[in-house]
Amino acid sequence: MRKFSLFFTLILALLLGALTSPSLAQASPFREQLVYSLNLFNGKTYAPGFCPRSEDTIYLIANENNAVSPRITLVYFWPITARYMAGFKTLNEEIEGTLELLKDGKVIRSLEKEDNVVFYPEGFFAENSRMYLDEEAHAFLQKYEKATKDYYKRIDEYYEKMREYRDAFNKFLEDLSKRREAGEELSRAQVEAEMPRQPGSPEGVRFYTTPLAKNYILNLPQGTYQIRLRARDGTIVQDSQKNLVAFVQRRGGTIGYEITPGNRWTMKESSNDPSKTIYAAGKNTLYLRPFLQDEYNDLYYKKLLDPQNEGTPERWMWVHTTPIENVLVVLLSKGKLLESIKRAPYYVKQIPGPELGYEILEYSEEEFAGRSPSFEGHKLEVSSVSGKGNYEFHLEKREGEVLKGSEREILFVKKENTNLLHVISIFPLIVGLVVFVQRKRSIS
Amino acid sequence: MKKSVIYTVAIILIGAGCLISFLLLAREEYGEVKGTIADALSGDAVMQARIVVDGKSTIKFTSTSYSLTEIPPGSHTLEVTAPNYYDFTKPIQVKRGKNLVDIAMRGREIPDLQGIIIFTEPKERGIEIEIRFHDSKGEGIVDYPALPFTLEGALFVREGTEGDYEKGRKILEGPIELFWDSEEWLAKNKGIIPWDRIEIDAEKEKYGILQLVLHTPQGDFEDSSTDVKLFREVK
Repeated sequence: MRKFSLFFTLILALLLGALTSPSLAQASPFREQLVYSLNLFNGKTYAPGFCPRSEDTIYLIANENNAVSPRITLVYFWPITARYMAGFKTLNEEIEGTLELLKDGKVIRSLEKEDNVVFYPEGFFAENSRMYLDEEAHAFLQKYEKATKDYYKRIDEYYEKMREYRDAFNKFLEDLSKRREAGEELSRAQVEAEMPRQPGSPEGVRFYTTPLAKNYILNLPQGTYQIRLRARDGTIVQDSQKNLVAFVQRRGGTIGYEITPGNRWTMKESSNDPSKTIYAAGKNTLYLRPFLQDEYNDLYYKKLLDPQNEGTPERWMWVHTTPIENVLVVLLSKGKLLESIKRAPYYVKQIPGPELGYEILEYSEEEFAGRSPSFEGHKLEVSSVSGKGNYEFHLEKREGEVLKGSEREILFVKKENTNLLHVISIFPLIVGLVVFVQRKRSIS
Repeated sequence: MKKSVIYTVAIILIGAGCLISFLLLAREEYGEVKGTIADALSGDAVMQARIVVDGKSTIKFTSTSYSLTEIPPGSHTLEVTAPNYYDFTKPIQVKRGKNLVDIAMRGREIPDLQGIIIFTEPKERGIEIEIRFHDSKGEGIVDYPALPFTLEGALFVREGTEGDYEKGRKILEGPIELFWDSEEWLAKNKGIIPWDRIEIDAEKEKYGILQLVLHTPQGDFEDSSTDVKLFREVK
């Protein structure tokens, strides 16, 4: 027994020593490694990433363009996130060769690098993008370059107009003071009418095209494959062999909601399953953003986002893909129409001082000039005390045309008689006390 | 009861041992060729070194170790190529498991070498001479192997003013020690003139004129420096 406790103490001391060791908090040294640099379609946009040597499989969505590129870089382990990181800024060498695609051990395709760009129709920070190849890629790049060039031309013209405006404005002020000195009486409306108008700044380029890249493009039907890189000298490059899983969604095109609660706007929630109910308590302001959504395997999708992610193959997850616009959220209670709500932009204004709070205001360009809206959504105000009971809502494209699968129910959690819950929680203690007293009696 | 538990645990342990041994043996159907790859003279990593064994290859840029896995046991030839280095070929006998083969690459040339530019700096050990190489465009050459160079030169005391001077007393003539500085980017080749090799009047002789010749397999290259500090700088 003494030996055992000694052994146990030793093990504990070793574990404690290892856990408090400073080496655990330090990044491992850089190691040169062949990795796959990835630019994969995630259902709505393209997300860059990399697959280190430690991961043997790359996951991607079937029937979509996905770009991969084998490169030599320096890889290190970052213990804080327990992930391998790539030091592309220090070493980023492309490996020339042909990417071989294998199915059941046989080479089915040999791929060469292709020109590609990613096109963001609503700007780089918007939620959707597409990849274009070869001639289309060049066309989209030229379109962006031309739009940018035209924009800079408009900027030059704007600066020229601004210079003219300033000159005109100064002259106007001089004339105005001379006229006043001469005894002319001018009303405010008259001055405003004669005042030179400031030219409007030109609108920027709303879309964006990435610079031209050269990668191996994988656009594959659903299935499992292998890839490997054959160098120009005909040899297979070490560590270039990877498994490839091209997967599709289980269900698609249904409607999901992103819900921004008014009392904690940064903690967004979602309601993806039409059969699911939204629970609320008291008075609530909810901002809804409807999306088209696809359902993917949890493991596959998480590995697609980052090959080092963990996932559960038995689980499924919804992914919001395309925002649904130009619709109304129709709020009902007991089947009776309460409100048809349009989508609107909102601005989150921080309240200065010790309160450290915020208020969500309807955004308008006049009121918040030079600032962008914090988010957009359909504003729902629901309350359990209004006497309307529970709520339902759905989307309508036009009046009366309900979008299938958009129906949701808002149920209020009742707060009445909640003191009963406290009594129930004491019940096991009472039972324990009774048993204890009985046993004590029987012993005595 | 106790005995049966012991027997069961023993059987499970033996079974697990057999399984692990089988898996290890199955894994070792192939051999792994691994080792170090470095410049024979400097020990630095060899940029873009391509190592090939039995139809498999690996490329190294900044690393001095390599590994090629799943090589069938038997006789093979290990081939290594890298820009500006002589090809390296070695017949190897691959066994199951690990096979250590260290590679020392011999430098062939400095690409497009047209001339040298020298800079001097007084250091604790002596006067340090940086030797930079430039190409036909006049640009500094960055990636190059270590080659067997020799350096010789003559150091004179500089007499006169900074704008109007001439060579004075010769204070050194002959071979100058060379060394390799892996940390440098442009001037990896450096020379050193130890302080005890020069005798100067510290009060009067502050600056010197250095004339150098670098003997390389690609020819002899000359350069000079007219502002060699002949004193240790106080930091």
